[in-house]
Order: sequence, then structure tokens, then C-alpha cells
Amino acid sequence: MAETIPEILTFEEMQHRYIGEWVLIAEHESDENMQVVRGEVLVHSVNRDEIYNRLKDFQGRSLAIEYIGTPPANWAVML
Amino acid sequence: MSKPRVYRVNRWGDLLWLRIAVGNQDGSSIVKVRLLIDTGASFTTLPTRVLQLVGCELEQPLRTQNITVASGIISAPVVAVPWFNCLGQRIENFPVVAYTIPTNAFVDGLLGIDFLRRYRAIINVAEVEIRLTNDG
Repeated sequence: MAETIPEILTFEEMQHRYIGEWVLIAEHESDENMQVVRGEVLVHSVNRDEIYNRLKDFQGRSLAIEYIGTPPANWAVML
Repeated sequence: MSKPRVYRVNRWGDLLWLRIAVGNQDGSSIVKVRLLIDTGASFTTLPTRVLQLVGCELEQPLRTQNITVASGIISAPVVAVPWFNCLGQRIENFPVVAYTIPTNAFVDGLLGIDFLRRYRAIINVAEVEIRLTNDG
């Protein structure tokens, strides 16, 4: 898992930088579907649970957890 | 509800998902996550860490719930999330199952039948949208 320097990015910029990773975002702006428009990536990791474990460090903020990318083509779910 | 409201959701392959928000009592801590729309899930499910961040005490649940999952049967706490916002509907003290689903699901949790029934949701898979026909 890696931390980032404070920087406001658009979601499109995040998609270029963090493809295939989970990101924890401090939200600055989102749309009506709760999609982040702009925000600060606080931490990023290929391991989702590492993102969850860092949540407590950012209490008192408006956060969003996103996976950047799409699942593999042969991906399927039966929960 | 005066008239049905239609909401666009998202699709990966044949699966539909959406974003929801949860928060603590005073609204200072808010987390937005992705939930799979799962008509095969009895309850809405959120990750334990997310629930703890918004003030849910997993050690003092409303009850525990036996749940059949892929790996067998588990017992998970049911807690009241201070507020839950989904498809334009805000619910105070919404009971959810605290359970972290496997990471390779690519979502954070499940939107279950409990929410969908409450709002008499009609899911249009072909159009990737949900129609809510009840105020809850």
C-alpha cells in the first residue's frame, strides 16, 4: 500500500494513475450517482483490505472507496 | 411515493452495482462504497471496517444472523447504520449485516432484498436501471 502527496485529481486522472488498484479518496466533488468527480487519493493498493484497515486514520472526513478498472473478462460472482 | 422514480445503475458483464453512502450520527464521517445489487441476498451487507468508521459497535449488535455464504454458514452481527443513502433514499438506523465479502468480488458489499422490497424496486436488467415504486 502507498500513501500519496496531497493533490486534487479528477476521477479521470485517477483512472490513469491507479488502474487495477483500490483507492481511498477524500471527496471534494461528486455527481448525482455518487461518482467522484474530484478528490484527493489518500492511499492506494491492489489489496482492498489494506484500504479498509486505513479507514480509521481518516475519521471525520467524506470518503469514497473505489476500484479503478473493470474485473477480468472471465470474471464471475456467485456469493 | 407520488410517482415511480427511475435510477440508472452500473453494469459489469451481467451484474448490476451502484454506489451508496453511509455516515455517522453527526454527519462528520461519510463513506461511499459500491454494492452489488443482489436479489439472492436476504440482507444488505457492508464491510466491518466501514461500519466501525461510522460508529457501529459490532460487539453490541442488534442481533446475530446465520448466513449461508459460498464457504458455508457464518454468524454475522446485524447493526443499525446511523444513516444509509441509496438511490435517493435516506434511511436512519438501517439494519445491515456486518460482513466483509471476498475482495475479488470487486465491490464492497451487497444491496439485498431488504432494501429492494422496502421500496418495491423493479429492476430492469436490460436497461440497467431500477424503478422505486414505494416511499418505504
